[in-house]
Amino acid sequence: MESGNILFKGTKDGVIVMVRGNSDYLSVEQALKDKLHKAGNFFKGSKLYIDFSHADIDEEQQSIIKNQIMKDYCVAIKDIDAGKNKMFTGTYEGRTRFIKGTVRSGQNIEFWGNIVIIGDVNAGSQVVAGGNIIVLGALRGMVHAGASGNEKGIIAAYSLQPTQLRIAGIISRAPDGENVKPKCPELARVKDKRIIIEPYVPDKFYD
Amino acid sequence: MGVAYVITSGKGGVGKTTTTANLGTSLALLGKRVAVVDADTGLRNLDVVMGLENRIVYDLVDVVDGLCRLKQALIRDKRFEGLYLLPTAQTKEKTSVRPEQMQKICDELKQEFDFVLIDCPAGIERGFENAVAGADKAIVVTVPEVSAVRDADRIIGKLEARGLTDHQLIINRLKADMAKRGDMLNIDDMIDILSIKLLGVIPDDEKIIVSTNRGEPVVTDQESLAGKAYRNIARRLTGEKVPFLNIEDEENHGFLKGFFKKLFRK
Repeated sequence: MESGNILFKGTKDGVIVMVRGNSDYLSVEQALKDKLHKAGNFFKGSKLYIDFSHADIDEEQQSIIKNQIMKDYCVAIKDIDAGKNKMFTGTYEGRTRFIKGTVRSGQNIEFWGNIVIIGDVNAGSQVVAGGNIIVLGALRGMVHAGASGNEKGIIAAYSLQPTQLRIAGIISRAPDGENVKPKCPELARVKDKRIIIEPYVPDKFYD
Repeated sequence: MGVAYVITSGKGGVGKTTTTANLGTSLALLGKRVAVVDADTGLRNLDVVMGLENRIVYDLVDVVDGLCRLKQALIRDKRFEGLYLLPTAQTKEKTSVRPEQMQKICDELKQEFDFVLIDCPAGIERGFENAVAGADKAIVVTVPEVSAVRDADRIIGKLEARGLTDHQLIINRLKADMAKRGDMLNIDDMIDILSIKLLGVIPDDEKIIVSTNRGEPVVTDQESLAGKAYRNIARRLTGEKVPFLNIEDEENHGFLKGFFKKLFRK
């Protein structure tokens, strides 16, 4: 059953609804409604798993869609954590979110793919990505690359001075005492189960 | 139609209230019509700093509850032409006012005044929500301490999330000699971290403490360097281009002046 960018899949636990493509959330919502409307009472009382992991819709909009569908069609909506169960493998080529502007204290940015930040990441903020994290600016906050378990994730910044770096399950923190501003862009990656930081030289990064 | 500024910081005790009182007074001295609004319900201070505590009859919460008209709650500062204070209640809580009500009051004040300065409480909860609800622009106050800069960063994020992207920074209580020695965060570092436009720098000045205790804004003291810095900021708010004070030189200058004064007195 396929309708535009929405795909229904029946499993023994319920129906998985896969949302794909870059369409905005209003059209996704409309497409979902059309689909469910056509089916009449068929889905009433059943469990729907809506999988947004292949769509470009943020969490707030996802919950708006979920709530609407739940109210209008008497179905139970369950969360499907595709990103959590499955390791993100697109550190070489994969879905990437671009963030323009400074990420400030208290802000939390999470994405199952790669993240590129065009701006600073200030202390007190948190950036979590399934893949790589690249900061075109100063990185002073906590960042977690390869959060779904991919140790190939890298973290790079023009000025790498984080409170904490995490790649997959490995955690490292800034050394105690005076923090020195790095003089060149740096790159953090996992080598022998430890996070190492090296100056970023264009030819040096082989993986 | 005037402009409403919220004066905020996140952290407490960095000088929001002092800044509000002094900017309000300076703007009034420049011939503007100014309303200063205390949004710190339950912990009001602006009235004390301005020396108007004993004249409060009605307050912001009374206006919201419909017990009086807005005009009745406004206290005219007799010392400065065009300066008015809207105090808030000390016996109520922040939840006594809703953001939409605050917005309505600010809109009403903007009809009447050139500048509406809202003194925001510390924190990021309801009090903050109320204070920013009616504001068009924001002034973020910080001091050269890591914790204050961190909180300022958080507040700027909150302001931006609300669409208040027109924000400027005041660095308060700067000790020039300490910053020069590298014992204090310097101005460039703070601007770099916060990526925000600098509105002014207020040097650390003991006269501030004296003036706030007396309820007389320091801007009326021509000798005070902090007063001069506030007056400059007020002029910048009116659109005038005023160069930044070189705090270091001024301090030395002030010191020498004091030295000669002492010499001549003898």
